[in-house]
Amino acid sequence: MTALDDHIRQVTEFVATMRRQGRPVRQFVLPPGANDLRAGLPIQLGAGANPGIILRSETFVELGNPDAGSCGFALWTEKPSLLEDGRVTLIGPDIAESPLASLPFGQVVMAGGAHLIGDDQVSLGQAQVVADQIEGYMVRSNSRNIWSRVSKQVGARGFSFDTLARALMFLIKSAVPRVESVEIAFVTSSKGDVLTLNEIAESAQAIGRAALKEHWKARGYDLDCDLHCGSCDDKTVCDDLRKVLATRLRKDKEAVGDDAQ
Amino acid sequence: MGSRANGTNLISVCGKGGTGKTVITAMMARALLDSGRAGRLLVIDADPALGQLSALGARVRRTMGQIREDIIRTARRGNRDEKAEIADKVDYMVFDALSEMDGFALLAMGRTESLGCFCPVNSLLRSAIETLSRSFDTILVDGEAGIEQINRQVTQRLDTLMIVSDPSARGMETAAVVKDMVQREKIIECGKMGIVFNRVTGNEQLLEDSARRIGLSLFGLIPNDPAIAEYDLAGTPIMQLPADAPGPRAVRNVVETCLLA
Repeated sequence: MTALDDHIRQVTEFVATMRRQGRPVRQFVLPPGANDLRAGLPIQLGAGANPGIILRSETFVELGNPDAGSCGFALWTEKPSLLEDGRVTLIGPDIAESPLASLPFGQVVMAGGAHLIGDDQVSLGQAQVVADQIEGYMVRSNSRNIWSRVSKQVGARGFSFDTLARALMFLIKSAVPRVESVEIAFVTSSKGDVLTLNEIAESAQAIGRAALKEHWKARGYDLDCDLHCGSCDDKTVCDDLRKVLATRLRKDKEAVGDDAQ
Repeated sequence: MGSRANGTNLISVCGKGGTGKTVITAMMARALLDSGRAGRLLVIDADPALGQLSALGARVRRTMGQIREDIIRTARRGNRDEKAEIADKVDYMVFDALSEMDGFALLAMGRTESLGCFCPVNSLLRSAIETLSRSFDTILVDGEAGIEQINRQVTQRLDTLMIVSDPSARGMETAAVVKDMVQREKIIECGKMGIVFNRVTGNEQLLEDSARRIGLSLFGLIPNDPAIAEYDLAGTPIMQLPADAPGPRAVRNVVETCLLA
């Protein structure tokens, strides 16, 4: 698994630069154990904990609206010692300090494990943008952006970056047991700061994509192969099956209609 | 898309062009909100002319048509990684297209520019809209002149289909065609279907008889209301019409008796 040690160092340097430039930088350390992370959380975690969307009228704080700017990515290393397990860095205002605000949002999840494998890269990428597993926290994301909303309901219960970090660390450690240490950095100070962070993201993502292709190639799958129907020998078979499917769907529809009458 | 079977009440308004579908849909949205029984309300403007924007006093950042163009452009000219990313981006893009107003949300379908069917893109977008729609209790669709577009882009099942007609022979002919398309050709599954006559200035009994003749339930008669034309001309949102004006009052009656009963 290709590690992104240099990018982790760049994030550390980014935090130091932010501090030098006078941004409010806060750091705290959360307990290492998954159960300790979960204990006392004011929200539910797990699949379906946040079904659906949170509308603006229901939002306590919005993070990373496309106008405000956002950036979200995951980094990993095979040297857990590069990270301080449980450490959370917050640059800018916390959620609880910004009721009804729409803040820029940067989120970097850094995970370390001496025995991480290629599959873990995918799991880490997915775990850091959990869309429905944190109660009162909605996420919409693409490969570069992360746009989220904290509901008023959980805002009233004290949802903060401490809560979010605990939830993410718990979910990551549960999803990827080979992870030994996790650090998370959140940036809400300004769109410019988030865009600076985005430069690290772009480089890391390019390396990550290449590593993923290599990983699959080693298992006999070429992610670059041309898979469009026109070049496939089985196109005629699929075309015939599509016709069968269309006929079946039409018959189903007619059957429903007949029942209704 | 959801239906009452999973908690969403899906209502669509269609009919001949120029019969006042947009204005009636806007008044229905107001009535649904005022009823306090609509829950989370999503209005979908499926008319390429985007008439709901002025009727509801709304703005949209992007239309679904623009998203469709983005996807087609990426599929045509994007590199392999960009193409692979499309599936991950769709929910983000659709959420970005959701315009949130006071008490309700609006999704504008907009115009499609690229010639050609592009069925897979339509399926992809429909799936994303379906996912989004599950978060709403009531969905009100302002359709194009026909209902094919709704069928293609928005949904496969409706709880209520409301056909709007003016008191004219051509309006009635269109209503009869829509009814045939639904009942005989099964173009869309539909719980109940009825007709609303707009700009009625008398001849109520004749209109009731006409509805009965083509086999449609009469949902209501909306009187000709000069205030509607005034608001329309001045560009004042129809939603701001006084609740006790003749038009909104009649529409509220339709909503209470036919949609929420």
